[in-house]
Amino acid sequence: MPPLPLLSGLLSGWILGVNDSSPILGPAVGSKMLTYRTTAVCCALFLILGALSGGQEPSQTFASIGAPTVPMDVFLIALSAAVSVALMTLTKTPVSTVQAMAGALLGWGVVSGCPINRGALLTAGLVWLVSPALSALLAVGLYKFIACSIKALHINIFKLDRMIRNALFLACGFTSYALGANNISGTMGIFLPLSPFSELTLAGISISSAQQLYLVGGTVAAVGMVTWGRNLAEATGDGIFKSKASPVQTLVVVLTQGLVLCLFTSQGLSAYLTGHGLPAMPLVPLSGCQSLIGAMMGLSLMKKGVGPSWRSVGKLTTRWLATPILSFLLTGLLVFACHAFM
Amino acid sequence: MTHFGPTGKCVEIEKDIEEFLAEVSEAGTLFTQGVKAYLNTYMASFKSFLLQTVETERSADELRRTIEEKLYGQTLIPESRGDVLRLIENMDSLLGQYKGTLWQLRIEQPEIDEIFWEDFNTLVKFVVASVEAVTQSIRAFFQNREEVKEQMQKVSYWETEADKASTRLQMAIFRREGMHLSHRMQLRDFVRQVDHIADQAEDVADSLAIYVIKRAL
Repeated sequence: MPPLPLLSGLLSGWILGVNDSSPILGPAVGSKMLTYRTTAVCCALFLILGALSGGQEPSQTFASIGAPTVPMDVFLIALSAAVSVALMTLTKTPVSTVQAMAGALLGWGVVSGCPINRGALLTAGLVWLVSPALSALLAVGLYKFIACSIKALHINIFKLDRMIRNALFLACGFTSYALGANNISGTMGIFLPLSPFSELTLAGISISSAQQLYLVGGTVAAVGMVTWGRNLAEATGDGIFKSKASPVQTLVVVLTQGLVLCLFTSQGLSAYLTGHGLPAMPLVPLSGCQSLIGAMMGLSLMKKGVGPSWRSVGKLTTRWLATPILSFLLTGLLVFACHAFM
Repeated sequence: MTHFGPTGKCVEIEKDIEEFLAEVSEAGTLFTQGVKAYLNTYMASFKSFLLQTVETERSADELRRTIEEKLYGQTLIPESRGDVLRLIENMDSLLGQYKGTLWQLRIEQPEIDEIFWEDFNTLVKFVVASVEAVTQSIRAFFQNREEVKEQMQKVSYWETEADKASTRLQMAIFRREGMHLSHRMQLRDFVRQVDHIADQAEDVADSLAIYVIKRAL
């Protein structure tokens, strides 16, 4: 039986699997190139793998926004974030669990009077603003590269279909891995001080307490992805992604998400940049959906008719903003009530 | 739907489409030979060509149905299958027109004066060339889209030539002395029917041009 605070962590991990996987599975399934079940199972495995082996740094950057240590506070923060995202999931809107978590942390900080690391919050906010634009640029570059390769290779239509299908399948796996590495640590990171696990050595391989915690988070997220993620993924595929996007464009937007998530997760890349006298990449958990929309907008600027309508972008943006605000208010309310009455 | 699956399904449908297009080309040859045999009053040969055309059309129909089933059953090329099916159906309709024209000759058995034979043969040659060019365009659409434009220009060229031959032949028919009006009109209808095949081939090429633009990378 997991300790009580961890239950809300499991819930937020599960809802992450349900909601945050939709930008990956939605386009792939909506384009009719892949079936939900097979893709979701593969993505779930990669998500677990990503969570297990993925970045600890994003969680540290994220946890430095605020570091609650009281188990009840941690429980309420994760619960509020999960409930906010669940509400958005019911309205079939893909949002970001880590942004809901940031809102909840801020709400806790304001009510409990604990210090909030404004620098870390600002970094995260900037990354969230920049990531769609970066996705747009990356998507355009990737599309041009893939399109030129296809033109140069003179591949026949059926062979191309098979190649894109396989590449899309791999891209979904890669992006799920990146999502696991980037987001699971952001969601489960606040539970690190309360982790019931101790370091474990299996067949000579040492698994830290944090890795075990992320493995649990990744597993519940994978379960969420396979069990309840279908509706939202299909809604994303048929709704937001209901454009005239070709299979190549679908591949590009899925792959772009994975690359952007990797950019903000990879410690290796960050070390490489600093080693070459360049500014380090901030390692921050970010939203796959915002990256998806950024990539789609980038492609639509290059080629008309493939992007979402401005109306749906407006609607999504409103809900993306509403999610952390909702979790902020909910956490504030719950923490206040808890402190007042307990 | 396949993931890393055997390449067999794709190879199969490629073979089916190639076979279907080969049937269209074969029907063109049979049509040319059939009209030639009719003009030369080799009725036994004509009947044989007609029956072969009917058989080719039946076999192409079966292939079309197989292609449809495979495209939708195995969700291959999801973004293009509607257009591919329309192309295949239009080509099947061209094949049907070959068969229909030969049947019309068999039923009505119009008397065609020797003076018109050369023009008739020329018209048929141009019409079959336009259908063959559209067949090549479709092959290019599947294999290498860069070549589609070049092939489509040939369709336009042969269609224009067919129009010219048709006009020339109709003028010759109506300027020929000693023919009943009903006979002239019967021959004119045949000329129009044959020329219509080239027009339809051009329509298929126009649709193909749009499909290529839609899929431009």
